[in-house]
Amino acid sequence: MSEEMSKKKAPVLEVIDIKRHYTQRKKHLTTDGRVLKHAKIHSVDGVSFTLNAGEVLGVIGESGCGKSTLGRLLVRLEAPTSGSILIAGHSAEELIRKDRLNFRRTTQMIFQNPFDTFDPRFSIEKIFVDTLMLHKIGENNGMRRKIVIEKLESVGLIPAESFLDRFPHELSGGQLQRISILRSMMLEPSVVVADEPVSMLDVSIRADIINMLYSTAKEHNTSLVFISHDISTTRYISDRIAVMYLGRIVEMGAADEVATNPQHPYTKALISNCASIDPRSKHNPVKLPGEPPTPVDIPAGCSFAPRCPIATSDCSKIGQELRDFGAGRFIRCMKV
Amino acid sequence: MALLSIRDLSVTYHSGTRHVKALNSLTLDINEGESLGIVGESGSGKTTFIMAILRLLPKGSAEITGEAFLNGKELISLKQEELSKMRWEEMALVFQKSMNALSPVHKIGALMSDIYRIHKPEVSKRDARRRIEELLELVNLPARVYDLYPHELSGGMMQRVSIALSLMFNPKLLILDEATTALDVVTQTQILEEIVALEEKLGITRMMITHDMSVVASTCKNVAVLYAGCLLETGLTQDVLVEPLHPYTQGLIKSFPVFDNDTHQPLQSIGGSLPDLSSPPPGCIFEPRCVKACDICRESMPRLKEYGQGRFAACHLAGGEINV
Amino acid sequence: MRLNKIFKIIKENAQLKVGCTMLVILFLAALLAPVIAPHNPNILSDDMVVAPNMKYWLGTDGLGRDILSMILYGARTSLVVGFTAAMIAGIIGTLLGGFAGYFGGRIDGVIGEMINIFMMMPTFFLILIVVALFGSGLFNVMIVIGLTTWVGNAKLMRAQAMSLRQRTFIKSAEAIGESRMTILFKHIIPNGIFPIIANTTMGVAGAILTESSLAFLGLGDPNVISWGQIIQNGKSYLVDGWWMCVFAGLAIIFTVITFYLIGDGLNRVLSPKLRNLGKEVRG
Repeated sequence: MSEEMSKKKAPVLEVIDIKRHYTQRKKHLTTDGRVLKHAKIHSVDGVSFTLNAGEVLGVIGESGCGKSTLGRLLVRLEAPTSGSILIAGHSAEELIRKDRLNFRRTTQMIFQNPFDTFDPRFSIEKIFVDTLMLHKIGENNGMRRKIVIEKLESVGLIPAESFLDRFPHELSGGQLQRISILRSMMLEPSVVVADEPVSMLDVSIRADIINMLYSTAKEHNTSLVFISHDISTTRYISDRIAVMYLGRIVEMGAADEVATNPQHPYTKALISNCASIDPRSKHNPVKLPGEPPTPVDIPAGCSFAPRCPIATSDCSKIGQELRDFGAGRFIRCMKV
Repeated sequence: MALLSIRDLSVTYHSGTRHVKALNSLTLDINEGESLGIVGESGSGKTTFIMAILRLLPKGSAEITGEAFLNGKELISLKQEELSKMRWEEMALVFQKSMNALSPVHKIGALMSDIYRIHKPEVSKRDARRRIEELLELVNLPARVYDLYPHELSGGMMQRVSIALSLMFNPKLLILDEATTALDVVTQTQILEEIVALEEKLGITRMMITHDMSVVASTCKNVAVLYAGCLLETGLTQDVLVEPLHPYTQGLIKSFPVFDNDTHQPLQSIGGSLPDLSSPPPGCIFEPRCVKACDICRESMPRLKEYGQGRFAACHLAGGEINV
Repeated sequence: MRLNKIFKIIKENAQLKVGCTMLVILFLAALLAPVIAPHNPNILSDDMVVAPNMKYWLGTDGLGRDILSMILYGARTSLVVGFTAAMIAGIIGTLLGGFAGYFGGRIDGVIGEMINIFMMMPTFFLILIVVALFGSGLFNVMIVIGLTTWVGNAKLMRAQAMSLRQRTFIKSAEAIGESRMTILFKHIIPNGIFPIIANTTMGVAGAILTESSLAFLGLGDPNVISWGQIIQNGKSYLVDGWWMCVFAGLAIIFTVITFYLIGDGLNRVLSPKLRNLGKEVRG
């Protein structure tokens, strides 16, 4: 695996120690009853990884872990507090400053709520044509319409003409999400971030969207960051998985490896709590005390120590680094 | 006698010239002590079903036909005074996003004792408080929750409060409507375990409405599969989820990514989309999306047939023979 | 297609039905004044302070002018002032509120302070001062009413913009590459304009009342016929010439009720839609 990686060119996406902190204006009440004024929320607290062309990275974690914020940072809907993001070796900040429109072509996002992704006042045709015109694709309206029809037909939205005049509220979630993916891919981005793209869709139609994202990434050699709280789906689509907790990556590695042989105690707990739909399978979920914390008032030392089943007193004192275990496997725990 | 007995329950919403049949002749039984998981996606009618038996549907526009018996008492024709007694005391409901169900300006303890004393006005404040504290302990919540406001609790704690509320009068039937969907997977497993334990301890029968089949697989004895208002298959969970008879159930199972396997089985969607319930297809309701559909499926809606051991399925082709 | 929908909505809502009917009456009165007015309202005659009779349906004023004709022509003044002033207030309020709500930060701070200042001001007295300083022409009156009554619209639009800012389709537009100005004018304002339309309609009534008050105080435009002016002239004849104040007053009441009904009806029609915008279709 590592030989192949070194043969490829510079990675498409490089994230270097990215942080996003917010200062809360309201007072914060901690779970043990203390009151903090102007609490700092460490939503993303030092995330680093690289992504090659055509690679799919799954980011999993529970609510409050910062994965959605990370997604917004990658697409530059928000600017990081510190750290840098490099797209094909160039700083994202510089790229967006020099040519905002061009930057937007390189990184695209698929949102969680397909029902609200489009302005309810515009028809599907207008939604597509406006994007094409904005990025100067297609020379005239006739050509642009042809491009749109071709794209709609390529994903089974047939007859394409009937979809052009429809409005978002007339379409189903699955259709809308397909249109969202089509629109983003029309710009031929290098990186696509999918933030929980199927969590609002019915289970029986999720597979289509998942498969579409996967084949899109592989056929166009586009890097895909797949953010989800659903471990099974993430494992299905990803080449690599990164597990986030309280704003940091605690484990990262090949998808199958992380899923079948998790090393970090948090990953182990998450994986063990995944129930299967086979009533015969027995699973022994690891129980974690307390609730998933919010990224305020992060304790010193390992951020997972308060809930960790194998933590010792040292764990709360010493900050943990992401250790490289070779072959792309990283774990942030000194007990491993 | 079954604890809950539904016979040909149908709900039609009328709005101007549009008539939507949200629930179509639902017939099923829940026996005491046997938990039932109702699996359905959007538009399946599962929420309509709950609202119908709790009599929470809008009076003007919803037309209900059929019967529902709770311990022999018919629910649909129940009068107003009996209704409030039935709710909470014999049948209780836990919603999905409980955060929205509780008043944000009242402390949890005050809310709970208010509800308690509406049904039992003769109880003193001190006794009410004691009962509330009992309930909080029952659901593994610290006693200090009594003095907290809803926004100070986490999602998991909120759900536990809802469960405590529902258990207040020892209902016989506990209905959980997507009660763990909004929770993190670790909290979800924990709460499910606690609910199952409470069920055994207090002798409650549980009915869970969910779209997540893994929840049903791990906690429910029986399962019922709803689609577009129709009951398509029901039976023991260990039978239905392992060897489903109905093509819809088969399709649903194929849509779930299999976790335990090392091999990558391809995920498959069920093509097409929900039919327009104001003008449903003439034959089987699932026929437009069914890969196995044949002529008879387009002509008539299959009835629920028994396939032994409490297994029922509504499909002309189930069991390997054509059933007419 | 869309026109049919509008008619249907109007028919279903009682306030809108009545209000729109009254509005049509007003418009026709104003538009057709030259045709239907029985006399020339500017001509002074010898029939002074005549009670309503067959020749002068609503009587005459102190200078012999026919009250009915004056009221019909006065409708024009009221409608022009009302609509223009309300439009000015609407445009200023929408722009300022939109910028403040969507861009936030310092822009919101500055506009917020402006809103506070204008809220504190006794606007009517400001109008009086402006009219006293710059003259009482209709033009001045319309502009100054518009420039002082935009605050309500601004607050509404700011609230709308702040909530729309969080919607997925706005973030999606940003991710696709639309500039923030484009997003403001293409998405935020058109989607948030509904309550402002209702508010502006009520603003027409407010502007008409203000203009009538100014005219009543003698500060209106002396060259145009205005209902307030009729009342001002009729002040001295309250007992023996009651028809002057009464009918002009009724005209004002009629007009104000018209716009309030339309505004209220619009609010009712648009609120449930507002609540349903962007809701997911699950379960």
